[in-house]
Amino acid sequence: MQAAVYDRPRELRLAEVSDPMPGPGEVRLRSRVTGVCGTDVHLHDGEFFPVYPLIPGHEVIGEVDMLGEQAEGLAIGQLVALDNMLTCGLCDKCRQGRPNFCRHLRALGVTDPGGFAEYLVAPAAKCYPVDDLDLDTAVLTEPVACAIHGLDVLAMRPGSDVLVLGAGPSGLILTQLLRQSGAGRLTVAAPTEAKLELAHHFGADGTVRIEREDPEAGAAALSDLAPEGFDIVIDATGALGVLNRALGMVRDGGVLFVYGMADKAARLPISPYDVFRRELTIKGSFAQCFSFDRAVLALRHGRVRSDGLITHRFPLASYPQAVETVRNDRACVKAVVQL
Amino acid sequence: MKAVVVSEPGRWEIDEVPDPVPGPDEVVVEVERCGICGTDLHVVAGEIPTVRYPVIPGHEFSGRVVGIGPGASGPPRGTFVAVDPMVYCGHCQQCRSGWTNLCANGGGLGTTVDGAFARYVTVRSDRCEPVPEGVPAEWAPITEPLSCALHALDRAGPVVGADVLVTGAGPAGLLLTRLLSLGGARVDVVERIPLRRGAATLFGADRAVASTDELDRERGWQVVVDASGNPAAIQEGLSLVRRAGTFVIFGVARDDARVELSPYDVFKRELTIVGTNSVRHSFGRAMALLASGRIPADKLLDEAVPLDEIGQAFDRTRQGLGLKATVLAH
Repeated sequence: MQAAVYDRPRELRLAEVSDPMPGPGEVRLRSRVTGVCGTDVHLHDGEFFPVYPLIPGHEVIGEVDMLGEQAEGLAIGQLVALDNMLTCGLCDKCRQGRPNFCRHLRALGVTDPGGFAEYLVAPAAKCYPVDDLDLDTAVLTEPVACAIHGLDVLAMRPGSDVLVLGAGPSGLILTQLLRQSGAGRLTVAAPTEAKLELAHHFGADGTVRIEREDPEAGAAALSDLAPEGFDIVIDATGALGVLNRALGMVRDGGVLFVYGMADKAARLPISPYDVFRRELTIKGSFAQCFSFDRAVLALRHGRVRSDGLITHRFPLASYPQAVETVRNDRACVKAVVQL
Repeated sequence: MKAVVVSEPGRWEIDEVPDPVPGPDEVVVEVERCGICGTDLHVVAGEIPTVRYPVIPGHEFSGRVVGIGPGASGPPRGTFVAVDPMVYCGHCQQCRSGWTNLCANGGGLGTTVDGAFARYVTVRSDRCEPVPEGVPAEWAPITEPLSCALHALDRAGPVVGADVLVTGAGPAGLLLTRLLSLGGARVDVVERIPLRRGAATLFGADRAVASTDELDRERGWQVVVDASGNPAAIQEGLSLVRRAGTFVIFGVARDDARVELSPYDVFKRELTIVGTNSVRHSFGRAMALLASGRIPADKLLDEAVPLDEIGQAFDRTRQGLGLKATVLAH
């Protein structure tokens, strides 16, 4: 089969590799559409613990193509969304109900073969039927599952005044979920006008254009909107320049939610006195955990919509361009590889 | 009346000042005892930006209601009370969210308005908490630091079955250790002063050690609480929180201190970092806990000294000698 393969960081090739075969409890999926995520860009650079040789791709929608022994609950031809996290179920973290911190965590598309290939194998138990969804909607299942886990951790009080910084796929999915979960007011700030229009379309009450190079004007507009600060400020950019300002936008007693993945070496100087005096909360959430079924439900019932989100489509042979587009093209919201 | 007056940062003296007169909704409390807190030392030294000088410090106190202002509906004259020292307006956005300790127009007795290192102090009548019969009078000043520790526990969230590390076993750290232990946590305490380490065990610590070198740092803790305010301890503590765990900033650091936080770490390890500031809806519960006998307050209290000797008591507190110093106000 055809697959995108890394032998080491940045060395990406389109290769002919042997077709995988499902083991016991596994199914083989024929990839239909696989989302390209910021994590794929980090993987391209060798970050995020890849195991080589690697076939990336962790936001996978595929058709069940072959059933392994004892693979139950699925039928040939069924369309499924894949929960790519493979957890051991035995370690202390799994048994504490925190499989996203499994000591032996493997992830299809990170440590094991993923969905930028014609076929991949996965445990049947990790496949969620989505026959009734169109492919553009179904491909959001994994990022929506991550956002729902984020909301689990955030534990927003209904009616809160919320600011989302960043209007990429994560920011726009969070915007929709926050709107549906009872945010009292929802403001989205980002540099790109077209993405802000999408944010507005997805339910933001207000949008503010904030340039990374010159954030002053945008910051002033946000301060006018919420002179005492926002109850919750969500960083969906991972950019240190944004994070540096974010705490100042949080109201006393409020929450800074670190959702975007920052650079590993980035450091945010914080004043412990300020955290004490202003009684701030800073929290983060990682990946997804017990939220895949809810993600499918939210997509099925239109709580999260995909219209306008997918701006770029590539064939498998153009995967290298897809990575470059996600990295550099500000007009790109969500890119997918269609097989 | 006689009072400790801090006229400006770094300058204080025991002075004769006019007796206070209660305004609307206020009562005058004749102070019996007032504890010395790290905050008082910061007020004297000028290390808290929000202090309004000149000021009489002191906010952990008990005494008798001796004067009642117009419209004050609090406890009758003669009632022995401890006082919630928080000053808040009740009508700003913060107060109306229930966050009275973060009041936009607020402050505290002993920092923004005159406190209790004096014979008399005026307070809002509704901040007075009568001391139940059976509670030893010398325990009453503990109500305030206990209510701060209770609020910290409110902020930390449920701790049943959790393992917790507390850095710093001054009076605040000790009270929090006791509450964590009562709340079902397994508590390790790090404290370099031997007397305080010994006290930590009395207050419910499972282990009390001089350095984290003696503990399994790799394993980490589900909750880490800094009760020292020391930036180095805070920096180290952040790395000791287990994945999906919580770090609580309870100790008061200098306002110019900075620690480095890795946003990647917050994301990847799913950390929660919370600050906790003084007292919020926890004063009455603290008094009830004190009355229940579950807090070994007698083990916290150094021998009380007269107001005239407060200088020595400040020095002892600054040097970390003893545990909770209290002064007899008259």
